[in-house]
Amino acid sequence: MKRLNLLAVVLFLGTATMAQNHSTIQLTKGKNYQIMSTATTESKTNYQGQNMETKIDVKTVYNMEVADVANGQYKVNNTLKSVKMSMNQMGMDLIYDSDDSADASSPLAEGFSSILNKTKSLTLDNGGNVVKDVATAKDAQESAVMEQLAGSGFGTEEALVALPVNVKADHHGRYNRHFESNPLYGEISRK
Amino acid sequence: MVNLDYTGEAKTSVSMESQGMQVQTKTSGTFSGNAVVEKSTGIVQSSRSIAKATGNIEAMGMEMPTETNVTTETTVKEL
Repeated sequence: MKRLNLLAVVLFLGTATMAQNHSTIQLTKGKNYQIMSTATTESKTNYQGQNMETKIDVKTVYNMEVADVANGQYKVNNTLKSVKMSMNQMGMDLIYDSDDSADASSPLAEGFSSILNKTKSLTLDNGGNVVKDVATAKDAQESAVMEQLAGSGFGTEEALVALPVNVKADHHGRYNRHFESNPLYGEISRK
Repeated sequence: MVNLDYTGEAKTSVSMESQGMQVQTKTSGTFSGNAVVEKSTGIVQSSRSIAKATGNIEAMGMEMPTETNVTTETTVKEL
């Protein structure tokens, strides 16, 4: 049940970002960036009349290298450098810190072991969206954690926003996103 | 730099197998936030968003209502 609850949390988390189509990003080959994100999730799921409350804090650090720029697409190499996660559900605490060797046997470590400190090569279109390919599809199917990471473009969706050419200094926008099936391959619309 | 305020709506409909069970998750909700974005590149310098969603998790013939609030903060720096 804990796994189901976490799944619901990560699926919505993956959608609440703001990458968009129809505009372009401009990345420079050879540049490197560090993407630091903190997400705090509070959820409540009712199971057979009983509310299960869950709080999850996740801190991630990605390094992103712009490896190549060609034909309006970008090759980026993203590496998940560290994860700090704490989860409380119904009074039970689980914590994981990838920088702490004592946490290597944590139940939460398993989900991150296949991606931590390993470089994912991604292709982005000029709107900052991950271009679908066999490798990203395989990633998304591997596990709930990988699906979450793949759904956010391994950090790229949090780091890139394709702004309209005529955007003003103080811009107010409205973005609608609709996903069917896997968030990574969902249909995205913008109004 | 562009100071971007945004609001939006998100819906998910996801079916997957977890521990041998078929799990269907449907959520819908809203999000809002602010981001400071480098205009020439589209690279976010900092952002903060709040998302709220409600929905259902269906598994083993049971339907479980779920509510989720997510606060996300991101900073990006060039190395």
